Amino acid sequence: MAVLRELVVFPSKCLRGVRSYFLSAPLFQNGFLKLNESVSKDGHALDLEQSDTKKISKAMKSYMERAKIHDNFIKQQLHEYNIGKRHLANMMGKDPEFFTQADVDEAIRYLFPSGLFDPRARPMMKHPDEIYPKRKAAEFDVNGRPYHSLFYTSKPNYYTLMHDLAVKFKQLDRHEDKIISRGIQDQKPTELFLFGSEWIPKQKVENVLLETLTDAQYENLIKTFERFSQHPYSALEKDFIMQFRRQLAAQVEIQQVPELMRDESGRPYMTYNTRRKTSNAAVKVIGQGTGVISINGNDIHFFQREQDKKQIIFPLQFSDMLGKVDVVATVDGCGTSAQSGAIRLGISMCLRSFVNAETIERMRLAGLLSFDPRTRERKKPGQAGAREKFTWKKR
Amino acid sequence: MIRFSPTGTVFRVWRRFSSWSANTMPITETITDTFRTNELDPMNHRKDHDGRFYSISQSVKKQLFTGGGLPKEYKELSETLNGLSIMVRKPAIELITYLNKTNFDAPVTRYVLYGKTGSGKSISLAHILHYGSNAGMVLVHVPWVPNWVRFPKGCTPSVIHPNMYDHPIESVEWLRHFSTQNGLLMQKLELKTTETYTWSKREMTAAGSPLSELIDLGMNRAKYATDCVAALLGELKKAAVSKRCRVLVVIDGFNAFFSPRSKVQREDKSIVLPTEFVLTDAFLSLTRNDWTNGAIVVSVDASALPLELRESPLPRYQLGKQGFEHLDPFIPIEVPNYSEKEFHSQIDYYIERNWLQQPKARTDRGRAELSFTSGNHPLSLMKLVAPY
Repeated sequence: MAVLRELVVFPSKCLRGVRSYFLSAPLFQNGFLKLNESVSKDGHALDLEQSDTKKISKAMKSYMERAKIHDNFIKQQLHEYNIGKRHLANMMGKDPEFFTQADVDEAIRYLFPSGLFDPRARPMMKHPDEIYPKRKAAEFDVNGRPYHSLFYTSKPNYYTLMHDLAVKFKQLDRHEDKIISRGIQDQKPTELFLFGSEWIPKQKVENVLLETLTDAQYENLIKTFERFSQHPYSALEKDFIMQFRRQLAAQVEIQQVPELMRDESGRPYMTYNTRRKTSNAAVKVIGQGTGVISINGNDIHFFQREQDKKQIIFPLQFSDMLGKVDVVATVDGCGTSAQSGAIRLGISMCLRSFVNAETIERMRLAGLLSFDPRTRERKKPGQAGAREKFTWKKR
Repeated sequence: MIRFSPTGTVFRVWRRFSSWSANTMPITETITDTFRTNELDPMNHRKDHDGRFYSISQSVKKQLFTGGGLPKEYKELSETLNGLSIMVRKPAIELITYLNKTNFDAPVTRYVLYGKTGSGKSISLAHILHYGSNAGMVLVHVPWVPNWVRFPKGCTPSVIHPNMYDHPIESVEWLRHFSTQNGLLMQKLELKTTETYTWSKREMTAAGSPLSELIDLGMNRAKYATDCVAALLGELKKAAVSKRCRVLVVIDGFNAFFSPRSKVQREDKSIVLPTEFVLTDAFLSLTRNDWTNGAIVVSVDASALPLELRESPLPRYQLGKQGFEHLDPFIPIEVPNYSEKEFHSQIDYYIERNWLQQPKARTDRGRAELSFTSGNHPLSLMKLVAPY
């Protein structure tokens, strides 16, 4: 375990930023985006230590040394990571050969249980590439001569990407011309279908390119990509474009509405368990009903305030199911507001199984199907409450 | 404007006069199943009249309810809505059926109305009071017992009964209430006292003197009022047994007589229990089933007891051991929430009286919302519909 503790990263250590200039591995395959590597253009290994008769300036020397140190550091971390993985596998009784990152995460969660709220604050053991920020490889050689032809633009990767887009555009045009001239019928134009995904945000683009962009440059990039993906034959460059797009997750979740269950008397019903703040509600909505409501064995007057009763009635009224279904709910914890909010969500989620897709969409837009993640904010030391400060005295 | 269809169903046709919808079709709202009944005599109320309103004339209201008997908000609402109308409901119909069929030679039957607070017990009792008045029964009516227990206007230790307490002011008020309710009837019956009552060295009421003299003495002399009440109740009991009159005892909040505490304190600040009141003794004696030619209708309510004793509305819990043993055997009658028919009838009444003014409240959706939010509970519905 002592060995492991050195490998497992506690995020406080990571945040010490180290200025970086070097990268350990290239980002894109197949030569789409060539970033600076530790291999020179002609394929010769970098000769970092020796120079010819020329003198190396002190700045250059320290630059090279830092590069070497970082490279060695990353190699060492990678080595330790792999060893650590094998140790973990042995500890957990699993096969070291087939120990995946998911297994590693589970093992760390088991061995170092953490009650911290933010997942990023909890102990983790990940591949060094995911922990240590990526850096660009050596941008110029021993003599100070830059490798990349666009080095003096100060954003070579960005401008390379823009040029690549332009080149590809021309390629697709030529492809289109070829098809038209040869009259090939089977190759129909296929525009890339971009539904269900969106362009990655500026921060992500900067991470990919390892360069900071201005807002104007990012917008320019996106506009160019848009034009590019509108080309009739853009489907041929699908992989390239999708590198800069991310899937929208929301679509998939809504469609999974559970099927109605039947009880002994044949009445359809649906159950759902929810919570709001620290109260938990178990709600059961039974079809073929008359509008009977039971909360912890009491009727609607379990909630004495009108606003709580309105919360309960809202989903039923909205979906026109008032008087058509019965509701049986048990709730505990917190106060009346949280309890009624929890029951409301429970009723809405159960009603999904009773109504059509259009009503479900309307309910979603009305906010009936959204879980309310708000919790009580923690009181901070040095303050009277979460936000309230002690009386400020000028003297 | 009101239109009548050929079948006799009443339609109310509304026209929207808003600037946005000048060309809209009129919304028709129907008041199907007339919610009123013309049968104004409670003696004739039967199952068919369930869920229907019957109106009580101003004179009857004044006679029966000046000294209490209608809940305050209900009374105020009736004045706003231009006339007291009571809904005929199952508990009252049940009671009327029993009372019509009672064998008055047998010992008195005791009926206990129970139900959640605000479910309509007091109104049912008011209905029965009207019945008793029309049936020519002498009404012994206590509008709300907790007023004597929780808000006494000055209890004094009794002279005649050691360790017991008088309610001079309340007794005077009650005698006044009794004479208002039974004034004409008492004149007709001309009941006489059967024994002599000595109040002091110089004051006494001889046997054979009219009961009205006893009542007047009580109303004028607060010191002897409580004992007058006790004497009156004793006399009425005897009169009933000897078939000179028929007595209907109606008591609201009966379980307050057995409350574990009251607001009356002795000099040493110890609490006087309600069972140590002379009035309690008097009414408990009257509610025993050791007499004939009468009926006793009583209600038990959770709000008549302190907060910690309001868990259940059921009679055994509300009366406690002592009260239950006193009243046992009795016929319990539940006063439930509105049935669907009664609910719609109530809404129809409010619409017709223009108390429900929002157009949306008059639609089916509005009714469903009102039904759900009030839980079909009469008091909740009344409060929900009120504009304040």
